[in-house]
Amino acid sequence: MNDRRLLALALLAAAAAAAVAVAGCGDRSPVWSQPANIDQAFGLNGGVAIVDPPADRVVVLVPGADQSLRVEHVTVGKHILNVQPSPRGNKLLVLSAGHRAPVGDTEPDEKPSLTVIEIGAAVVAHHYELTTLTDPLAGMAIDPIEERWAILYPASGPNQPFVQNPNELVFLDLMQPPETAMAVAHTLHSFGGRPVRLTFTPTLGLPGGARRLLVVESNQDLSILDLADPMNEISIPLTSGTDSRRLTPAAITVDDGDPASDSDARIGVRLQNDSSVITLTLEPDPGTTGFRPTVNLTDVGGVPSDIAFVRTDGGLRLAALVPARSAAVLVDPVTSLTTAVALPARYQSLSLVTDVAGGGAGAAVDVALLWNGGAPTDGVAFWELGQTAGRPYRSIETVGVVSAVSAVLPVPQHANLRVLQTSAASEFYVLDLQTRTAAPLVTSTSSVAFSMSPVGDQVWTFSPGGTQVVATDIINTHPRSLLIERTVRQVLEVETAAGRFVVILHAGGGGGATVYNAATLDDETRRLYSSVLVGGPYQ
Amino acid sequence: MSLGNRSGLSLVAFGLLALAAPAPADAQVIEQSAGPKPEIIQGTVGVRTMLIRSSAFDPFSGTDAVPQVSLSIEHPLLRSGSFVVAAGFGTDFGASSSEARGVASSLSLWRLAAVVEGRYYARPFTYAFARLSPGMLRGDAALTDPSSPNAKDLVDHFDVFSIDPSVGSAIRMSGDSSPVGAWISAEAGYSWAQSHHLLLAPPSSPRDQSKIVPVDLGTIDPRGVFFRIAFAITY
Repeated sequence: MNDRRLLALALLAAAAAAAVAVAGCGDRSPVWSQPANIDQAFGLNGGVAIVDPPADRVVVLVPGADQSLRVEHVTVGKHILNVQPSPRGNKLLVLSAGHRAPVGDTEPDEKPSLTVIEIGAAVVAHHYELTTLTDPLAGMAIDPIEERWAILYPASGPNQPFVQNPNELVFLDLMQPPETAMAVAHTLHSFGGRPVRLTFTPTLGLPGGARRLLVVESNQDLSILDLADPMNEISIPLTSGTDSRRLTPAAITVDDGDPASDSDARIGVRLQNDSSVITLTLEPDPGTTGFRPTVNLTDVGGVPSDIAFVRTDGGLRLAALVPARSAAVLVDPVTSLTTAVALPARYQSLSLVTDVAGGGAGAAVDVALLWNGGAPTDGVAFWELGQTAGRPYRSIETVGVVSAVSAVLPVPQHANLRVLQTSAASEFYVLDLQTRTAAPLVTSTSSVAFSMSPVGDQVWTFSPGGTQVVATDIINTHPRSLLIERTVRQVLEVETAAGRFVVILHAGGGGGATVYNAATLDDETRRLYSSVLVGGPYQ
Repeated sequence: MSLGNRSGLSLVAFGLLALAAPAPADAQVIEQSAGPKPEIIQGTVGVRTMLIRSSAFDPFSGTDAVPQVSLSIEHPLLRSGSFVVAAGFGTDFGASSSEARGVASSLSLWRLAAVVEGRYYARPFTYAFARLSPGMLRGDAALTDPSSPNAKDLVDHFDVFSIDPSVGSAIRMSGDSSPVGAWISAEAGYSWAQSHHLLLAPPSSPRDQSKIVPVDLGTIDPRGVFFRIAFAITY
């Protein structure tokens, strides 16, 4: 019996050892244990892209016939730092830090990289390896005009390198294929500042030939780089060496001047902490850049909130809105003489609407839309620049919008229309620039978000965290509500080869989606998806 | 996987060595002449660990292992010397639960099968066996996802054909003279089952079914090696 018990015990021990060994086998990817969220979702031409940082991937939802949804997974570089859609919505750019494997690390080495995702008949990803970088640069600016340049720059925040050069910019030409594209680093000639904003100009007629510029605003100076040759740089200190103040730029505006002239392109600068505006005229110079900025500093009597170059019947002016004075000040960039125009409200923002509300493209004088007033009844106003000379007080025409306008949203393919988002957010308006009428639409809640149809026929209004989604026809301002069962995070209308669809994203769990046909908005044909981020495989 | 296979081979080798081990000389004659005791029925309860390597199993478990409880009942049909052929029914039930990207998930597997077993009694108190067990495997997968359209769990059920070949050995723990025998067995084998494409959707009325799109978790292959330890009573 003793032998038998020993045998039994040995048998049990062997079986238990085998069972324990099996139970410990085959760990799944750790990504499965990471929660999913749809906080970073973008509507692109052809689909919706959801960034899934724990999985180092982008999940692309491509709507198709009968509101079907094709789900594709695009692997990007490890440790995502920055994600931005291209300005025209053609691409999604994902900047990743990569991974540096210490001794004993089973995860392979990976260089910092930029993945460019395009959605067409198929989802295509171009992977640019930034081999010249060891530590990642988390800031990214994308050329909004040609979508050619991606410029990386140091950003603040956690997980930044131990030592970084705040004035280092890395230029990547996205027109080049990943195999041949080279990231070119350039350090700005700093006077002590660090870059805070990058602006890509349109093509300007400059001495030495037409070209595009990159204007870099730092916290105390300004740099102008030739995009064709980023090493070709001019840096301008905004603060005089005899002045203890540090002037900080707040925004710039650019004007090409007379198309026939190559010596009158200008850059206007407003300041955060001074009542002056600065005009830089790019004049011929025998140096390497071919031009030299001539600086004019003009006091406008208060800190300006917005600036723009405008054409008046008196010639080109730099218009500055000065809310403290309830006025706009027109600065002659040649003589620096100023003309103050009293405004009926403390408008803080302006945009030119000459194309549709004035004499059309190429008109001799501009029309500006003024908005973002201080009081609830300030609404918007049209400012006819052609009447400024001699009759400045009669050049302002207000529109009966009885709410302070906080944002003016352009309507794609309807240049004459704007959607006015109000500060109260309990109503919004559809403004017709040609007829100068504003149709109000009232919402039942003050927590309202907007998104625009890419073809411009409807504006989407929804309550984040609620279940209300409404499509308002932009022409006849007729609202139509959708039937939504789950709380809404985002509403994104996309156009694909199969038609137009609106994808409503729902937070929670693995992320949900409701897909409607955006043309019919038929509840019966909508389709409801769950756990769109749950599917693997994961690396 | 390699570790699991090595363990399985060790187990089988150990079982064969146990059967080949010489018994005490004085008992050898008596037991060889006695042969296996005739028994009417054998009831078994055991635990089994199954290794599923399918990637579609990942949402439901942090490892590839599924612990299961096994029950079976067998009756000897044929006897010839030290050889016995028995048949009966067996069932295995196991469940695994986890979180898949923050969504609570579970998968249960229930197997109901016929059992055909060939035994070789090297001694009256120990035998080796080879078993073939064809049957049906029922799987129930569920995700408790707050993004479900009607707030119900996303579920999928499947029934697939399954067959388990296995080998093992058993040792009698009770006295030889007792009419009731208590046995301990260890077994290793491969559980094969048909694949199934997991499409999980919340239960809904026929009217809503065209609107609710299931979650596609890929094709699961609910098969793999298994190990079982069991306690059996014979009468």
